[in-house]
Amino acid sequence: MTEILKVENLNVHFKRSSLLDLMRRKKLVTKAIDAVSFEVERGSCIGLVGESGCGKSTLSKAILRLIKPTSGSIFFENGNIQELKGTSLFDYRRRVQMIFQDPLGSLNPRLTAGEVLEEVFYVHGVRKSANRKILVHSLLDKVGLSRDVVDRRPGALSGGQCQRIGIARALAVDPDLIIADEAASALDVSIQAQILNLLRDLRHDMGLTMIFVSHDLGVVRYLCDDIIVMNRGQIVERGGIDQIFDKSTNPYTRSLVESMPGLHRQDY
Amino acid sequence: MMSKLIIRDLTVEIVTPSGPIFPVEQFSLSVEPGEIVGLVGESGSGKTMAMRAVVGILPRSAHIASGEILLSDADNAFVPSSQQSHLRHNIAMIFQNPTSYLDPLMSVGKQVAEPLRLHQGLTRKEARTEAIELFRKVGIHDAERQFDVYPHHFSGGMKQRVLIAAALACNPKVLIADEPTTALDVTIQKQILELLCRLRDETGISIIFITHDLGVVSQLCDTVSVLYAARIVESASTIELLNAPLHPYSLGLIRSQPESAQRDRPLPSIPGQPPALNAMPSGCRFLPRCEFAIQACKQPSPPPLVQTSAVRSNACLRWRELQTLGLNYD
Repeated sequence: MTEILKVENLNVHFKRSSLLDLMRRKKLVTKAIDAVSFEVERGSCIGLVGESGCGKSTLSKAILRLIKPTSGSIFFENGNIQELKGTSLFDYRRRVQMIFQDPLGSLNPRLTAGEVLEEVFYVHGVRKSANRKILVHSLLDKVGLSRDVVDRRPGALSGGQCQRIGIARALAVDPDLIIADEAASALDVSIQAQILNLLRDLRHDMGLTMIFVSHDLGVVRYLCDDIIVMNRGQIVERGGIDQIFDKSTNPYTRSLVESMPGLHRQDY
Repeated sequence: MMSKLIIRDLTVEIVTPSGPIFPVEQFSLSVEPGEIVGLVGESGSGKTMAMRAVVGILPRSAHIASGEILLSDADNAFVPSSQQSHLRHNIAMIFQNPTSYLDPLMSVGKQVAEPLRLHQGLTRKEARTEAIELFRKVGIHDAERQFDVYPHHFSGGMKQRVLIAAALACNPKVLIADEPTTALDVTIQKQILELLCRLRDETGISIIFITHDLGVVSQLCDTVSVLYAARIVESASTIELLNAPLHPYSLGLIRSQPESAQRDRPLPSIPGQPPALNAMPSGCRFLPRCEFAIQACKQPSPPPLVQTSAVRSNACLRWRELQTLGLNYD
């Protein structure tokens, strides 16, 4: 297996000095990401877990090149993503896609589902409207939506349907790496199971690499091969399912796993 | 002196231009003193609406169409729901998002002291002492100093503690907790659940816990009612429900928990989605998604909730068969 993504000693710091601090010549920084290094193998699914504020989302944004790291580097297929420009950057943007947490909030309320998806194809060079429509239809089939949703706006779709549109949009351009930021946590239990199954199947069918950001350890255990536990901007532990859930000796990982509300059926 | 709460055949109606819709239908629940009752259902299943009706804070467009809410008083006699003030004084509610229920311009201590001054006529000083006592009770450290702090200084978990303190201020008999931990991290969630358990043990308060998370239910609740499309489909003790659900929907919910799933198989999910309130299927509401449906399920009205044992009730026509099938998780 080859690695598709490599993060090396990444730091993202935010300044948080107030005016008063600056006058006193004090500079305070928040270390949102603090010396983080890891690699992601092609075709694997990595779970990124931790409490809110631990830097999960900042890390995803840095990988997507939405924020500039303070230091350190991120390599995608051996190319440093900070150095990408022009067409190579455009290509990187195509190959790394994101699925967002809030299914409704991440879709433009004024565009129909069909327009949302067509836009992606238009940007990536499919100029013939008829061709785009065909592509949209095949995409809808792939994510298990009926074709009549193309004329509906997000407001007229359920949360689960919106999330499927979000997934379809990410898949439209045939990406290599998908970052799913809490992609199932805003959904109801019965719908969540459908979406998790969809992600799982798509991953196997299309050979996607996935980084699944979540605070729900149950979901991560079901979906991922490898888990990275983060706390206060640092990687606390990385390991397989067994390692994290059963064998971990790290106190933070243990406290997370023990707080997980499992179904205690055995005491019946 | 603790009380028993009985809700009988509660129906909530919303009149819309295209006719009335019923977000809650024939909702019955009884809560024993000191009991923690779970209310489980998907969004839109009516769990919050039913509880808002109980506390009397329905949105303006909705009203109680029928049913009664009874809370026993100190002499164990039931006071009818027409005496709203009795209910309001004795039932308190906490909500999912503590931030939006706290006034950002008022110190947290004052917000806890306010009901004490209004309802119990305490003086400023007495209310302050009492509020600090409440803060200690809900596990806010350094309570005296935290009294004058504003909500934005507090984390989500701490805000939820403040909200619980305010809810407990006038010694309610019943606390309704509407998804109080959904917005919190798992470690904080655990602390809040432990706090609620401890409060129940110390004060004997009854708690109705609304959630969509069966894991939380299994940790906290004594009994549980499952709602689907405005109706209760199954009520049972938590252990019985989780081990031997007798309604296909409860079974589907339990199976689709990723915690209990096997990694090498697809997660068993319930196909389709819940019906909209203005387009309910006739007969059993779960029918379009149910794998056990038979012709009889298509009767004109939804199957009623029937008692299947002293402490269980169920709204599936085929519950007997489901019982003998000995439904397992595979």
